[in-house]
Amino acid sequence: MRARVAVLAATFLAAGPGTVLAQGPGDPTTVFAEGLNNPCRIAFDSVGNLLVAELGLGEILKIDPSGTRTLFTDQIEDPRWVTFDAFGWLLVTSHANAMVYRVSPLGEVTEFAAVDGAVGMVTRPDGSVWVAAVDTLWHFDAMGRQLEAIETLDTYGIAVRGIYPAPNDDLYLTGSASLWKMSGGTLQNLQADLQYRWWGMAFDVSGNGYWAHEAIDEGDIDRLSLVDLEGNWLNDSWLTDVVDPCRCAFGRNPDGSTNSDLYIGQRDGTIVKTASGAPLAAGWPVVGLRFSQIDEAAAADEVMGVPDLLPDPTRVFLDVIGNNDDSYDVGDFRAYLIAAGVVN
Amino acid sequence: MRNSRIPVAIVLCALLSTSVSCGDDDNGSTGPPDPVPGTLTLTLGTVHLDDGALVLRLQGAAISQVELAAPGLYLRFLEDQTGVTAVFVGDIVSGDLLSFHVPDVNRPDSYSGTVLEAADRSNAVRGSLAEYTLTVAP
Repeated sequence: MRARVAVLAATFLAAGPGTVLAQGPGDPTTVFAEGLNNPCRIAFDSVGNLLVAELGLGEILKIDPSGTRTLFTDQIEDPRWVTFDAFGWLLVTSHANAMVYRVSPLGEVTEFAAVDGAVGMVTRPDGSVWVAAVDTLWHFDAMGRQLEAIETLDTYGIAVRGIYPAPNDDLYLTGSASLWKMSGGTLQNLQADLQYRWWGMAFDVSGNGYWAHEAIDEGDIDRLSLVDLEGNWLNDSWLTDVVDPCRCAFGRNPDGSTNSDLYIGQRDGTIVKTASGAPLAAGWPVVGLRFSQIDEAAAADEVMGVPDLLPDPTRVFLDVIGNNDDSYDVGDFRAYLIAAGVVN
Repeated sequence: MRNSRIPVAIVLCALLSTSVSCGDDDNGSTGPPDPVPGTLTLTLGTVHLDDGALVLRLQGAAISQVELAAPGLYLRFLEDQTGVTAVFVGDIVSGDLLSFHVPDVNRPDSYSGTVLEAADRSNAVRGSLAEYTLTVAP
């Protein structure tokens, strides 16, 4: 019997006659991968592979859609959070080295930025990267140059445990017992004084937030709850067929688009996915701009004076990877062609 | 009375112009030379040794068949009624950049080029474009 089934059975028995643990609309789940150490830091690449940073093992595994596992890299000491940058390289936080590393698709490791105590990362539509440390939010451009830092603990009293993108363009921060929204560099508290161990969150394209809760109090249950963009509870027990859930992420298709398969990492070493027939919108992409999505012809034509061919975030991103002088120009276009491998 | 001969010659020439050549043309035709379609070349002159990218405008009518004349460079161009705008990326040096077809190669001065923007190989944009020249020749 799988561990979570045992827990559910125990919960049912403990509840006594006449009470049945409600199944949420996201139930049931199916096992995607098991036998892992602690799959609480996961990220999908642009072709649907799942990258898992194995806590304590120093390994990052790649699991393809069929479930086949390969070692992606073991060259980063104490890897923690993982996400992809706009170039399609994997960003990995190293707790031991207080560093964020970039890992190329071929496994080449380089330093991205120094951050101590990183607990979450997200790439924005302009290619910039937010890294959440417990006491500070760090904002870097696509090349790892620091843009700003927001002291969350001293200013807002929040010890950040995760950072997540949403379709309203705001970022959502989770504490262990609170939920915050960051708009325009300012934090707004949405939920406070919750039971402890609210962990990872993922939004769908409709703005529903799926939030993992690991129960530690008597009478509490492991579950995924559903909240809206203002943090209001939509369904407290949207999914209960989980054990110690710590992270959730929407899958990606081979073409890079985000789909409606919700994967949940659990502390018991299992990754499950919802097999519910309930309508589930596609996930909001964790990675904003993807480098491969830039239209080379549009980038060239705009530098030749044809206006408004590039979306604003793309223009900003290209400037950042180029000469970073606040305007898109021929130097930025050169940097783009080199980064894209078009010219040497 | 030396000056008086010139007007007389002009008048005679004008009167006979329908059948007699008045210039140096020794092929028996009249008026300006017939246009000779062909290819002209745009050549860059730069004092810099680290040019990495530039945008230029080639001005002139009826330009067609634009081709890169500097192997190894990236080229993309846009044609319109009055000329061509082109972007080059790579290790750019003085020399031929583009070749293009025109209706009359004997009129290269009908075409002119201007560098609009340039960057060095560290992607920094040049503050001045005064040290770039573009010439058009057969």
